[in-house]
Order: sequence, then structure tokens, then C-alpha cells
Amino acid sequence: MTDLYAPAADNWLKAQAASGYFASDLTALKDASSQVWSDWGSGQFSQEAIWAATVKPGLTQGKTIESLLPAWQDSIVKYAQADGYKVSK
Amino acid sequence: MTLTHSSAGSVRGRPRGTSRQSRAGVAFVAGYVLLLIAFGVLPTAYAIYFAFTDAGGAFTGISNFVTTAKDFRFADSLGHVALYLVFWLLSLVVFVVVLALLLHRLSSGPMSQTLRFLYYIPGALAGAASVLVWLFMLDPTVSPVSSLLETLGFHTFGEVIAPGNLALLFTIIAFWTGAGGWIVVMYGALNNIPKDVMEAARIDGANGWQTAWRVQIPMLRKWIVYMVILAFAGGAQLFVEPQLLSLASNGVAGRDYSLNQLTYDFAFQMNNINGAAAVSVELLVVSLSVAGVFVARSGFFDAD
Repeated sequence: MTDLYAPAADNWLKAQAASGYFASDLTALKDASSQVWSDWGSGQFSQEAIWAATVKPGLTQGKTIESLLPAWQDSIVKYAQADGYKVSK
Repeated sequence: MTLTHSSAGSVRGRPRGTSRQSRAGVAFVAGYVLLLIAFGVLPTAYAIYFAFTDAGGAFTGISNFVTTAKDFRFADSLGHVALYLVFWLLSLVVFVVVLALLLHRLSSGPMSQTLRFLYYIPGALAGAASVLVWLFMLDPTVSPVSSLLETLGFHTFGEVIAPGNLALLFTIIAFWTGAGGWIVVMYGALNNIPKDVMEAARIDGANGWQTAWRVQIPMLRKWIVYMVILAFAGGAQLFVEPQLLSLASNGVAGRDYSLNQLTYDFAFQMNNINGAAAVSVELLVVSLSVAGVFVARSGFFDAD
């Protein structure tokens, strides 16, 4: 994955350096990219938005976070499936 | 098209005048028809094409409709929109007619002019702006009526926008935004009721209540039907209010609330334009059917 995006990363770093927006060198980001767990990925849907919509109204009503966790999980699974992910439990 | 009313003179003079008039008519209508085709008919046809095909353009039958109906948010949004429509249409019909009748009873004094102006002002704001006004109104920390909200037991924005309150909140916002224009329209319609009809009612000893119930409201029927048709179509497309609320509340309330938001999600979050088109087509069919029923039942196009 890192090999595939390496040329793009070089271009991006060059463009950032040329723009002068950041004060220091950003090459550390490219070095760090090889340390990312290879199975890591982010869903197309926003976890934070699901938390906000399912857990926060319950908190406002005085429920505990723990009691709302099943609803949170349920909603995440539903959003994942709606976006075409296979969810294994 | 009356058979009894015709005179020789008008028949002779008609051809030139009529053809000039009809040319002018055609010119006026042509502009509208062009815009209607460009921004109404073609997009609709395009949406119908999308609804029955997949991303590659292959015909898929009703599979887009099935997929979207099976989505876990579909039934909820449908219920939300249905509840909102009940609140919205009831409040519109009852309060607009009552306020227009009151306005009409005040006749044309300065009071009436002031009220007409006040009713109309919110309608002059663009939709999104008036929703923003309400987001401030409904947040107890910044609201000018925070004492009222506190009295009702709401101490935080989160409490105001609890899931159970949303249909009512959207109705209040939509009413505040949209009702003024309709009150002015109804007021105009009330002014169009012939004076002799009103006088006859008065001579027959009808009081204000009876005049309103037995004379004015029946004569407003077509206007009310017209309002309900447009309000239904507008209400079924509920989008701006919940969408802005979901942004303002960081997603706590209003996300995936209405069917139109669901189409937006399908199109721009899930990259499923065809599913979005399918839901849009369903909304179109429902709105057209309701309009059809109302038009047929009310004799909307019958000449008086």
C-alpha cells in the first residue's frame, strides 16, 4: 500500500514544501506511513455521527453510556451493511 | 363556450383580435413551457430513467425500489414524514383559514394592513435563513424566549431537540416560514367573495361564526384544496429543516429524518444515484396521486 502511494506522497510533499504553508519539513509523515497497520481502514460512514445520533439523545434523557452501547453497536452494523460492508460478529 | 351569448358584431370583429391575442398568449406560455421542460419535465424523465437502471445504465426493473425500501432507515423516515405531514397540513388548514377570516373581519383598517405585513415578513426570508432563526430561538442558552423554554422544562438545546419533539418543531418552523404567504392568498380570496352574498347572509341573520362556517369557508374550498396540494408536495419533500438541524446539533438530531434526506444520503454518501432516483420517483408518484385525489374530489377545475 505504501509502495503504491509513495510517488503520490512525494508529489504531495513537494507541493506542500513549495507552498510554504507549513513551517517545518513534513517528510516524517511519509516515514510514518509504513508503520500503519496494514488491515487498518475507515468506513465510508461516520462513527462520530452515529454516536451523536444514537447515544447523545439518550444521555440527554439521563441514561447511562453503558446502557446505550448495544444501540450504538446495532446502528453501526446497520450503517455498515447499508454501505455494502459484510459485518462479522 | 356559451351558446346563448353571441352577437353578430362580435363574431365579425373576432378573428383579427383573437389571433393577435392568442399569439400573445402563446408567447407568454412558451417561456413558461420552455422552463418547465428544462427544469421540470427533463429532470423528472432523467430521474425515472435512473430509477429503473443501475450505475452501468442497464435496465434493472424494480430492484432500486426494493433495495431502498429495504434500507433500515426507510421505514423510519417514511413514518417521520407522514407524522410531519399530518401536523403540517392540519396546522396550515386550521390556522391559515382562521387567521385569514380574522384578518378579513378587521376589514381594511391600518390594523389589518399591519397584520398582513407582519404575517408575510417571515415568508420573504429564504428558507434556510428562517430555519437558522429558529435554531437560535430553540436553543435555551441564546434564545430570546429562553424563559419560555425554561418554563416548559427545556434547559439545553439537547432537551429541545429530543427525537419525540422533532415533528412538532419542524411544523412550527415550516408554519412560521410558509403560512404568511397563504394567509395573504386566503385574504385575497375572501375579498373576492361577492359583496351581495355576504350582505344576503347578514340580512338572513347569520352571525360572524355562521357566515364564516356556512358562506366563507365553503367559498374558500378551492383555495384550501390548492393550498393542501402544494403544501403536501412541499411537506413530503421535507429537507432543509432536518438537514440544518443535524448540522447545527452535530448530528444529534435530524440526520436521516426525512425521505428526501435519505435520497441525499443515497446520492452523495453512498454513491447510489439510482437508489436516490427511486425514492424521488416514489415521492413524485405519492404527491401526484394525492393531488389527483384532491382535484377529482373537490371539482377543482370545474367552472363556477
